[in-house]
Amino acid sequence: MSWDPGVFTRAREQFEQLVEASAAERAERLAALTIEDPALTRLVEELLRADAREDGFLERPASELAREATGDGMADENETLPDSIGELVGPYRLVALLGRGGMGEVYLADRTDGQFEQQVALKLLKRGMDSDEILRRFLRERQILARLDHPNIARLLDGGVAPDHRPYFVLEHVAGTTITEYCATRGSASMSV
Amino acid sequence: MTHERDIAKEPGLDRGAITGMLREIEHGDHAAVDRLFAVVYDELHRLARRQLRSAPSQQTLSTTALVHEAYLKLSADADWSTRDRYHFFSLTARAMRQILIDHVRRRTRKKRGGRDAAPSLDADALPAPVRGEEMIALDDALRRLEADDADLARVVEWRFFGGLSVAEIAETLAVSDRTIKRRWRTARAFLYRELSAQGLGL
Repeated sequence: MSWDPGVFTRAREQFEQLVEASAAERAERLAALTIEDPALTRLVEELLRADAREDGFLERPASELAREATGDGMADENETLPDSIGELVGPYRLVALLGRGGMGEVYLADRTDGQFEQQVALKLLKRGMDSDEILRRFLRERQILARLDHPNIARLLDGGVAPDHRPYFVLEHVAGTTITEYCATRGSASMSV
Repeated sequence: MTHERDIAKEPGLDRGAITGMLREIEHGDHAAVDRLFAVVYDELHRLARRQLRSAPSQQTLSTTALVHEAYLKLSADADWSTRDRYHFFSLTARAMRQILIDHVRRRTRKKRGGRDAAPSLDADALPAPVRGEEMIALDDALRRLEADDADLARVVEWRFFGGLSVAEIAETLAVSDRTIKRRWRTARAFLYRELSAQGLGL
């Protein structure tokens, strides 16, 4: 930025007019503008593209983003937050806490409706995290997982809403070490010569 | 109201002094801006710490709540004019921006020194959280936008950092909601364009 003031003002004017215009009108006026001033047209086109972004982080409060960027509050939280072990979520009984992240908790769970014997990993939205934005992201994650089908990615098995209205989803449980443990043991093995 | 009692119990803030500083600002005393900024900054910092203590499980520090609480407190027994509100919101939004960005800067620097580049595979890796670098780049881009067009930049500072609503901003600046929405949209386009030119996705 820090444009020549004339360029800035003209770009702003053109953007504000065109952003309200129909697609056809926009194309027509941009074509006309290109002949007159190609550099300005490029800039206006870039602004219109920037306007079309849907993942706009500016729509979320800066404070929320700052916490997300710094991961603040999570370390302390993990030690004090109660877990939900023993509770029944859909047909699943929570057996052990496998891990916690910023917005969710992952439990080892047993299926209790006798349909089939299976231990699964169940991810549950953390308590107190039911703001629209968090909910949207949680559901988006669930949606993305539902679309993934790869032998090396845990499959999405089920999903629903817990009795206390927190959404959850169920993945196949893959027993194994975490990637950090895996790397640590591999690392030490290869270095312990 | 419990809120009133809470205010009465709060130590340290002399509301008469605040109004006095606002009068000095109105009369063109620039040093008073700095003094009031210091008061507002401390107040927001204190409120932020208290909010985090009282609701540790709450992920989101609510800027809107902080700014409104500070507003209620500092304006409690003074009849603030629109002009006073303008100065106050300018200062709170600026203070919130500084508190948040300083915080992100410190943390981002610390992380860079340690484990940072390793890909995160924790349970929440999918939604691609905003990175500290991107917040800092935005702060820089907003500073440049300020130089080009202070009106556009102000809307972003007040809304994004200060947590104020379109209606509050419009009322304080004595313009229509529509004008504020248009400025917001234009400012956003300039900022996103600038960030994507730097290769920052956000």
